Amino acid sequence: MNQLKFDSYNFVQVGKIIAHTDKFLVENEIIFIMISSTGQQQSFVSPISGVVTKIYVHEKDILSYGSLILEYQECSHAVIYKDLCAVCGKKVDKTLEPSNSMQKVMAIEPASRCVKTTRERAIKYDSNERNLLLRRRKLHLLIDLDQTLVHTSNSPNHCPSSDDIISIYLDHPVAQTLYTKLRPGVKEFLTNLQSYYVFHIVTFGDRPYADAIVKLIDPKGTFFSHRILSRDDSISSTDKSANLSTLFPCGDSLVCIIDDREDVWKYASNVVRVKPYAWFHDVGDINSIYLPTFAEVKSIPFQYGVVNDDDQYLYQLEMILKHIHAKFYQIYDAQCAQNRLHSIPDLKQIMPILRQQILKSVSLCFSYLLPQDYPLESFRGTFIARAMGAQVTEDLQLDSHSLNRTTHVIAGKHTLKVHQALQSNIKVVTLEWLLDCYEQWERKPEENYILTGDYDVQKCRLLPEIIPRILKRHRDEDSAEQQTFTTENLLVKTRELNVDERLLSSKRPRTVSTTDIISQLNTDDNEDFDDDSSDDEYLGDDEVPRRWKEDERRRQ
Amino acid sequence: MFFHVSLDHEILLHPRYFGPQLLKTVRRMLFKEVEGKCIGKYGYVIAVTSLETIGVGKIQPGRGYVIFPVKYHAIVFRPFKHEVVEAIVTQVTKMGIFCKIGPLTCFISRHSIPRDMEYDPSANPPCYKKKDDDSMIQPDDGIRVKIAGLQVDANEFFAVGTLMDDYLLS
Repeated sequence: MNQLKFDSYNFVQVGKIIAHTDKFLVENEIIFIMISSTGQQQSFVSPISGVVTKIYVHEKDILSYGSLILEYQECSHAVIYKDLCAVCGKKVDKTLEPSNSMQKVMAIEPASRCVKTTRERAIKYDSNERNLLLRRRKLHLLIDLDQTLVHTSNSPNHCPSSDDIISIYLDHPVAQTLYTKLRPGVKEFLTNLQSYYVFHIVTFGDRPYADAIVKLIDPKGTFFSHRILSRDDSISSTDKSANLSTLFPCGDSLVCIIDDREDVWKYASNVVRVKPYAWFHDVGDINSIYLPTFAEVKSIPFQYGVVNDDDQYLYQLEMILKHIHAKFYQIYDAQCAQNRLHSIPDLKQIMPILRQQILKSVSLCFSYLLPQDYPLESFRGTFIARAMGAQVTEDLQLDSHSLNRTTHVIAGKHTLKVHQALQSNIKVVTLEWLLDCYEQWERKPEENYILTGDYDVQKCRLLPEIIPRILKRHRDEDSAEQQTFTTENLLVKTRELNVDERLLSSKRPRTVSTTDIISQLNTDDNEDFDDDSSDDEYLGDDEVPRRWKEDERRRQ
Repeated sequence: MFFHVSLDHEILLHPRYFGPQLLKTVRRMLFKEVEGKCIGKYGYVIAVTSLETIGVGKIQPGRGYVIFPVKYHAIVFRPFKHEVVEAIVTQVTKMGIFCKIGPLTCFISRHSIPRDMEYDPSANPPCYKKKDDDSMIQPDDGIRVKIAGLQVDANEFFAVGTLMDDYLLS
């Protein structure tokens, strides 16, 4: 607490007092009018800035040197815009600022990126908003754009064509025309969920792109209004989860996320993995954070003419999200009834519980999907199966009395295990079954996923990127990045190739020249399974082709 | 505050412009280079009103470019601390309001917004609302702001404003 004293040697009388308690005084602001002995009126201006806590002077008091005028609290510079304190307007020295207590708070709007505030204040603002959200019985829903709500291509001869492909012209940062197809039912999806969720867009597309797409989906701004987070506003360029703490300082317990990629959210449990929407055959996610592989253009069977879009996923997603919402408020109401208002249920705990129900009482094992000696726990398939409540075992459990008797075998090929399973009437399905269950949150009928002889396991979506991501949007800032990335890729690849050489036959030379590598790289990605493994490296049960190991290794 | 001041500027001209249109080009280049820009001391140049003199061009040795010293009059906008100005709201957030005073961006934090105005995130677009009557602040509204602080960045001014004073807001 500081005190302001009168510092003039003249006697003056206090006239009208302008300042009042709790007023925020800025430097040079008038505190009161003083009348000197000659009757002259002058204003007494504040030499300080801060909040007035107590005023000692009264009207008609006579002041002399050292008389107490008021008590005040100095500005703590709690909100900072650029380098200015937004409360008192003083310039804040960055070096003096206690860096740990300040936190950037984003309200998703681009301009507010320059506003910083203390953590407590951010939590206070956010908790207000959160209470309002709970009162209106809504939840936050973070939505990804590319391959979730839309699919965009930058190729003018995109295929297949459709009447509802919209071309967007962007002139910033690089002039280009993009072709976007909205996922069927996007508008119905948003309209139906509007009373359950508050939508936010979180995309890796840049700001002009995000704005353009949002304008397509939501021309009146009723769904998203300003709640759009683009790559330009994102804290990290490879990780969307880093933004959560700034978007929701109070924690993300009311946040549900829909995205076609879980990795950018660090596999958080509140992510609903969306079935990627792929309309254009020749392009994946043009705003993907990963760079195109060396894949050469696969000869895609070009389909001309209008093809019907039979993607129905959003209807299913709507049901899933409504279900999550209902469960959340069911638990919340139960807690309210018990007067435990201080603990708000956490979606990160509710969603796994719901997910556990999907494949309850299913026990499965994998065949021809994991490399030999590869730990079952690190396989992504194991992870998603367990997330859905299924038992995963290493081998077939044929004991009919055992609790975890195998009910499903997920296989990539007709192996010994598969034959054994078929003999004892165990269902043999492909990985797609597991994935579809995971994406649609229901136990899909196994009949549609029976393993057939011509099933190509390499095409499975669970496995590392196989979609040819040859076309990527041009961004000027990317070109440099891209360069380093590719060389890095090249190095990794080179190393792997060398390892492979050693592992493989001794007939081949141990060292490879760079040109060889590059030419090999160009073909390597599209090599077929069978070409990869010659006869003497026959793949036995549970063994997986060579390329797979590399991918696993790379992921580790 | 607006001022009508006399300013200097140097124009670097490529030799391809040397011809009958030379002075016209200099004039055009001046408008292009100066208007809308921010000059640290004087603020934003709003409009060039008249050219006083176009000095004698000086050929740059070894390059062929010519520098013309130009004297001109212009209307400049220089914001001051404690100045009361009219602004247009661009964004309303839970942290406060962003507004534009012509070319100048100004931020009004929630502390500096009268206590009876409450943030309403449910409105579309979000706004600050008074409880007892319908007066509100939302994007594209015109408001009267007092500049509480100013900062000069490389080539731009930034301001923080306040609405906590008499006759402010609207």
